[in-house]
Amino acid sequence: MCIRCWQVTLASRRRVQCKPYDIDLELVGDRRAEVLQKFGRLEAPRERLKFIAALRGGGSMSPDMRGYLNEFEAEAAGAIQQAMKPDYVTFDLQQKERADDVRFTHLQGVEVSEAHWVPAPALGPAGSDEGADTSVGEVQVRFSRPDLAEEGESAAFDFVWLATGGNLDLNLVPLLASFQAQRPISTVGGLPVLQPDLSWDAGVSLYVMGAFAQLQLGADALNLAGARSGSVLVARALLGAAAAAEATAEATAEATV
Amino acid sequence: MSELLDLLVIGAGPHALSLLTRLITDDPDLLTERERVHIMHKAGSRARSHDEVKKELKKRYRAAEALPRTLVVDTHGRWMAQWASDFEALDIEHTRSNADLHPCPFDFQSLRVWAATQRREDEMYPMRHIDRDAARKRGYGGPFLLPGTHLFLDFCAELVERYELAPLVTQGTVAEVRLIEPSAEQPERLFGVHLADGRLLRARRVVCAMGPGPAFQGMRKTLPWWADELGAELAATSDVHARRRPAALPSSSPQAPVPPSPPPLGSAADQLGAAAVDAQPSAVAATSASLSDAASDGLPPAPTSAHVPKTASDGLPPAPRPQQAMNLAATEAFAAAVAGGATKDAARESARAAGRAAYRSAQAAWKHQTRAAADATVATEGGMGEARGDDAEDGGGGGDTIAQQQAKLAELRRKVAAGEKLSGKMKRVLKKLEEAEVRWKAYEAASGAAGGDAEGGEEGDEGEAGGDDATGSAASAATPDHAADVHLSASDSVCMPPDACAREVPPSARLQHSSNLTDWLRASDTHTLLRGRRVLVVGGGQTSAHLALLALRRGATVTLTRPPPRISECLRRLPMASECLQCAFAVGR
Repeated sequence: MCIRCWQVTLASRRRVQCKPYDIDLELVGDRRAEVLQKFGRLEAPRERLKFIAALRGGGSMSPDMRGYLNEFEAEAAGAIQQAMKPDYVTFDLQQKERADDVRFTHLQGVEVSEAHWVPAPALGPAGSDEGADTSVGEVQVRFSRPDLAEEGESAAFDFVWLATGGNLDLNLVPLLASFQAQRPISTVGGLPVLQPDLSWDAGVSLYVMGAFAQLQLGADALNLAGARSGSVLVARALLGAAAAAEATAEATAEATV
Repeated sequence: MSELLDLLVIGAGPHALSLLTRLITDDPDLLTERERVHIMHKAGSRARSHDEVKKELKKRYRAAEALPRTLVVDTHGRWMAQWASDFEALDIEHTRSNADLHPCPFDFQSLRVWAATQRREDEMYPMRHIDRDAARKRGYGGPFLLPGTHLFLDFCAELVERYELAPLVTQGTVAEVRLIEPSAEQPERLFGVHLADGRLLRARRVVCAMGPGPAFQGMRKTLPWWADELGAELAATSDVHARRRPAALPSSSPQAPVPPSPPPLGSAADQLGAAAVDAQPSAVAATSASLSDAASDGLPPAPTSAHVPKTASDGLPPAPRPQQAMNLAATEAFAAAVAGGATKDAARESARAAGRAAYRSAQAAWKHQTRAAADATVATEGGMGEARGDDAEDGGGGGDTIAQQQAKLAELRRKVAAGEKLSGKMKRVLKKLEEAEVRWKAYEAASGAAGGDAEGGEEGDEGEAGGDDATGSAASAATPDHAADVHLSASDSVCMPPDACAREVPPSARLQHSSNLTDWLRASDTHTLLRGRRVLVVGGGQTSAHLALLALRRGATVTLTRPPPRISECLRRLPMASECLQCAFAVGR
């Protein structure tokens, strides 16, 4: 059973962001040094936070994932065209009856205005057996366009999955939260302001890598790129300043050969 | 007291792997990011030769000797376990990051070189949908290769093996790290690491290298406002379902209908996960429960439900949607404040406050309205009522009983037969109803076959019969076989249509945030559960794409939609509004 009751596809108010990485290309390519330098120059943690937000730009999908989905969307036989089109495409699906075998629909520029659990139509009154009736049903979802006052169409679903992400917060990690209680450092937007070598505080050799080090490492702290840049900083700190300097000298010497 | 550790690393993922191998290897890459950029993008000129990398990739290290008194604590007790498990759960074929990004401490080319020596270059996925020229213009000249997840994990496993890192990991979850300040007998500052299983470890240095973890610890889930409401409904439905089970036994004494209790005040965010048990039943769920309780307790039959929800919901003007109300109020307040000579910040603050207030009141009004039908019927008509009245206009919507739907179908068919022209909407309703009819027929057929087996003597059946008269009286003529359905639903032995099979998935599992979903996906037979199902994925990021793709590959029908726009987008017209009021709201809540 597909959502055949869904007959209207709404205009695309804003397309999904497609970019190869979850950060802008500039941070991956030749300009990485430049971008990181700019980031490093920002003194205020809040400014850094904004810088990161701009580079990540909210959720984005890689073009390849989008491509795989397009293969399913192509089943729509021309009914769905908005996916990769520029902003503000409007088109009318009223006349285009969706083929029955379309299994993927991408609604952009709409929002869910209501969602309710609707128990399955009673086969006779409920209470007929051990109460299965209320737990069998579907989720009725009503969509609307945020820029229009009118109510939109509704459709029924068996599952609703929220891939809506979240915000990092130090206080949600018991280990970090309890450490923060013992040895408070300043935090911005739920992120700790660490030392440049990713240690918690001067003279406190607790190092933090990954997403919670992004005020020091930049937008890709939680990515594999951040695993490398973070491990370099911590390794240098752990190996001791002298050893690190030696290694850098070697590495740069080698690099310039 | 355990041995004093030099280094304790929390987490055995790529970050810890990058770090420990860097501490062990002879010639680690300890380049600053700036130096690295210069080398990486001049590959061939300044980068190491592939032969050199190959040679390094054959070297073996002994972690235990290089790093004595070092321990890695990981919840899974194995390297890269969470990554492997998430790759599998979400059906991820390749990483999003390119082939130069991996934990090997020696060279950025290691993964590519290793893939070549293993003759596994074909497990590198080329970026097919990227405009390479445009990327080059933005300074990105490649690589345009994405390592497949098996290749990536095998590369990491090889790294672990080559460095003999496996024995360093102990299974455990760190509950707390305590500072041990220097004292007379202990001149150094130490860390006491308390594990959940009670172990206490002491270390000179601690590295937190854990990711967001199994349940996205550290992440405050972004939940659309409607998800709170729906989550509460689902939790309450499961709750009612669980509590009602014993009551349905033949020996049970009559029970009073579940009184409608006030809606849960707290957010349902915490109940979104698997543990959605102890929620207060909301009025909505109580209504659907009392519907059945009333029937089985033989309460006076209520009037036909056909008109009840309609009158209840039709009698009220439509409440503005909270999001809309918030936007409007915030916009107005902002404009007023600016006009009144307030500073930017003050104006924004007042806009935020107004928006928040409007959101709350609109949401309350909306809740009130959508519950009005149900509440009214519970209060005044002895617990008889539709679970949801607001779908009445949809004709075939889930809120109608089969009797109503069949009556409607008959009416539409009459119209068609009479040659009347149907509106587009009516056509859709007709189509939906016809689909539904196929299902009813299936029930009936199955019931005919199972009729002999169905037990007639259960107490529940009497209740059903009474209730059947009540709900079905108006349409019983149109549905002579309705009674057969009753027997069917009392018997679990017949093959249920897809909807009924869905009982394997409790309502509480129907709405899930992606952070809980991976566990569910792993634990469930998704190939069976998702086939033919309708899945709504809310989001616009990579996770949403993975989830959509996963469901499609399992045979589900998928709709992908963006979450509600942030209010800053709605306030774009206002030049000074730059912050997201919705976020402010979420934080303040």
